[in-house]
Amino acid sequence: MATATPEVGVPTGVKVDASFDAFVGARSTGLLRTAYLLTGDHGHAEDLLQTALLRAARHWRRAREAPEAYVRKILVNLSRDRIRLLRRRPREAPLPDGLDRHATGTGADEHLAEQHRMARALARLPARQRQVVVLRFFNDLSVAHTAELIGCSEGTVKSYTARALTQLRLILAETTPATADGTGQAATNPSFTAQRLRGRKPAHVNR
Amino acid sequence: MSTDEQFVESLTAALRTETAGVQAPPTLAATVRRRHRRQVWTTRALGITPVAVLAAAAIAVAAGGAPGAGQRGSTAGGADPAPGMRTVGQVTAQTDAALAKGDDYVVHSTSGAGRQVTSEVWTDPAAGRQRQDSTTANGERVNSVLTEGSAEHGWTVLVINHEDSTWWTAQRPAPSDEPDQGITLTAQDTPEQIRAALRAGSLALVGDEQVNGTDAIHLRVAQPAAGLPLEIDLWVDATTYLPCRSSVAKRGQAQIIDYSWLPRTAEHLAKVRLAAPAEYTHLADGPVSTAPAGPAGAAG
Repeated sequence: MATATPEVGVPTGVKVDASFDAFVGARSTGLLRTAYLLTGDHGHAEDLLQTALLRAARHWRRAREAPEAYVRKILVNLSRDRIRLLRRRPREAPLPDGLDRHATGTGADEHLAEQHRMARALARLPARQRQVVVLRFFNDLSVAHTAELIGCSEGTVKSYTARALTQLRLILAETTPATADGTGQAATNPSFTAQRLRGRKPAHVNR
Repeated sequence: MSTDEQFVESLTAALRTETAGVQAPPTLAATVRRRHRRQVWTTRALGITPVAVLAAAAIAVAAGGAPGAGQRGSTAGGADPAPGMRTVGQVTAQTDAALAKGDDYVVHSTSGAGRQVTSEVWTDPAAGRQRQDSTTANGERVNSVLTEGSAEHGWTVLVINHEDSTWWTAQRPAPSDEPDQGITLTAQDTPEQIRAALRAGSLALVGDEQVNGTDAIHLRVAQPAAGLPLEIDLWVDATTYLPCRSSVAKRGQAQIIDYSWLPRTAEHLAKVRLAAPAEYTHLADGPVSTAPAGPAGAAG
């Protein structure tokens, strides 16, 4: 039987050994980023991550076999309620809209603004769709793994993915700053135009 | 590259850029450990600290360290707390200490009074053996289950089905960690399992009551996570601090368990034994999907 590193101050039977610290040190930033994208709020993300790590610590004997997957699953579960809560309550100090409007700025500014708009659009998605986007396109998880984490079928994940990507395009189209020709489209990146893609099933859905 | 692929690529890049500045604080592991320790110790801190203080006070008084002790001589016997000074911390510590010595007893618990099927459980914690008999309200025996083993090494289970006069045995592996579903108490819990459940939550003192003619202290067990549906009450013997009753209620439906803590006499140990009647039929493989899952989830 493996022996845990004894720790002063922790009662016998609570097996949180040094591997817990190593795991937190190595993976907590990645997990915090996931939590941030799931909640769209830095404070809530830290709170969720602490809670998830606390649960992992409580069940470390089981969690340490695959700690990242264990914590990520808890994050996903916790984030669902948190997302709903956040959507019902006023958000903390939202950025003024003007900060997104860099259409007349430099190319680098436009690029950054575009990426920021993408993240803001993500925050407007329903909980499940947001989870699917984060898990699949930020954490780079497969459909099967995402389905396992969220607790639904692979078909449902594909469906959420398709809806989420369509929804993101629509939101981006709505929030794309006016261009010089007044079309309201970001001409530099045709993929951001909603009109052409509305109703189409993205190829990545089945990846 | 299709526009769809471009879009997903842009999305991924945007999410990475958006989170590039998000960094976990370097003290996170220490913070979590601190919270973890605090959580684990919460129950004990409530209990052990007052007892430790009282013990220290008693030692101090005995050693003549108390104010005025020099004039009055040793007053070690006067360190007993007044009955009216009972605190939840003291009761928690006393209950924890009493349950820690649970191996000294044979535990008899009954549950399901007034229901269609009642359950009677005899547990010999020192031997890792438990017998459970389920009986209908008409007094007809339903089944008997003997479980032997440990959580570390798994269990051997003997099941006797009195309804069709059959019996079988099964091996149950040691379980993985239990899912985090809050605290509950069952008639099959060993003293150590009761102790662990109480440690996982926190206790509140409700008051002094009588249970089956015995003076008892009524405690309420708070779930560690708010919002869990189970409400748990525990009564401990006011003298021994061993549980004498528990109540687990969900949506108004309460499951009452009464406990007796009996000396390990030959008579009581015999209650924790079980053998299949010779006239019963042995099923080599047991019935499909009807065998109990282990001591805490045994049939009944």
